[in-house]
Amino acid sequence: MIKVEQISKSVKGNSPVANVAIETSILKEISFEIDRGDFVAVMGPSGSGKSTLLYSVSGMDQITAGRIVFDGVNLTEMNEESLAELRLNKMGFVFQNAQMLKNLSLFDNLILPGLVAKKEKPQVIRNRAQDLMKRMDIDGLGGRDIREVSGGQLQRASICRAMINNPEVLFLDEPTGALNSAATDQVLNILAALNDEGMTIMTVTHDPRVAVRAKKVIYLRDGEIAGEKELSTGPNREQELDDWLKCV
Amino acid sequence: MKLLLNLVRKDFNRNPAKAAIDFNNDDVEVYILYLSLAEGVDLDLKTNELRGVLPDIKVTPVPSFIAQTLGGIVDNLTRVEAAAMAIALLLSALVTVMFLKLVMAREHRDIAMKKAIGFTNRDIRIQLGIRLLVIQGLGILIGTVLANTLGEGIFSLMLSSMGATRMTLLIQPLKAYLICPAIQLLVVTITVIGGARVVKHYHIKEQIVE
Ligand SMILES: Nc1ncnc2c1ncn2[C@@H]1O[C@H](COP(=O)(O)OP(=O)(O)O)[C@@H](O)[C@H]1O
Ligand SMILES: [Mg+2]
Repeated sequence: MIKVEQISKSVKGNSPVANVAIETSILKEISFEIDRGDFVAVMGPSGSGKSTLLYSVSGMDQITAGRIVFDGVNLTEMNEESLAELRLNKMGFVFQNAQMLKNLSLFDNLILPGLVAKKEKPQVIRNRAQDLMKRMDIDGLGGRDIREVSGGQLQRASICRAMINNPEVLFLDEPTGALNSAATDQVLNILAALNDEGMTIMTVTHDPRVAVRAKKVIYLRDGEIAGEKELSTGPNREQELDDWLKCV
Repeated sequence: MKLLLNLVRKDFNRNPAKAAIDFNNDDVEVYILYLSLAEGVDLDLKTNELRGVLPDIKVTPVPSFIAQTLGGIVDNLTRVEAAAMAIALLLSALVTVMFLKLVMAREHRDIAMKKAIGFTNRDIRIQLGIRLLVIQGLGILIGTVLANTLGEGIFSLMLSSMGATRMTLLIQPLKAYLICPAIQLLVVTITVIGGARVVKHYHIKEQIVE
């Protein structure tokens, strides 16, 4: 479904030492594939390029070399407006800090991408939002201000928002990075359930508890793939991941 | 002389005392008489006609009389008006740009997030534009009303140094309430459209990733 082919990204900047322009390589010739229904976790130390990879794959960050093919379309050749349309209709995004509009209620935040897409009647979108909120166990909170709910509730709400246009893939950047362990578990259960129903997921995380739910783990170091692992479905997967993370 | 007196009588007949002025050539140097023309009488034609019948008397239509006596002030005022207009438009543009910058600085995260979840640059520009235009439009409306009410007092205060002790602003409604605000709004609109283009260069990831 998504083919990442030899992508690299480098940025020009000034050297902190001497006053000369230098080119920093953030991603180096990365290739992998995400199949439909896949659950890919990208791990790696801070600054290894995980977020950059996620944003590049979803067409929000420009790459300097390589190709990203989404459903047979080459993202690198698309203009900004068509990329925005693609993100609106086929991709869902969840960020570390929910990123909602402060002047809208929780519910209005959720339905916003649906209203912008203008594909369906507002009532259809509202009903779907209600269903999603029920699933994520936050029904009844719709009227609240986004500052009046907990971090976990907000993050579950942002999964609802990401799902509002029935996307084909969910992209998440450290979705549990700001949550306590109970809230993390709730979010992870939701992601697992969505994936069981066929939702394709790519998440960035440094938390092995998140990664252990994935089908495939990619480990980045200094912008390069240091290792890639398919996790088995057995009960030993936790141990399996632990062992792999130690040697990767 | 006789004819002139008649004219005075005719025009000042609501105040008969005036007609009793002693028009003795030895006593005075000059008499200035103002004639009001009836509705529909052509000023130039009438002037010529009077010049014909009164060869010894200087007949001057009021507009050129004003131009001769108050020409300096009128010129200055015309220049002041043009300058005020230019400054007002520049200020509108400047305020719009600053306002736009303020909104974008305050909401850069929201804008980046909207772009991330699929708002096009156009969507965001339109939203910004509508907000700015509504606020600026209100500002222009209030400003127009204030200028056309309080403006006179302030203006005469400013101009008292130029020798005019009292100013009565004759407000041309079409210009004051329609054309000027419309031009201002146009300048604001152009500035908004131009200014909001920078949304395009917003880098989503840099704004969102901490
Ligand atoms: N636009 C940019 N300009 C310069 N450096 C950048 C830019 N984007 C990312 N980086 C650098 O690239 C590296 C990877 O960043 P990031 O993808 O956010 O890492 P991670 O999410 O793994 O912590 C970091 O060292 C960061 O400073
Ligand atoms: Mg990151």
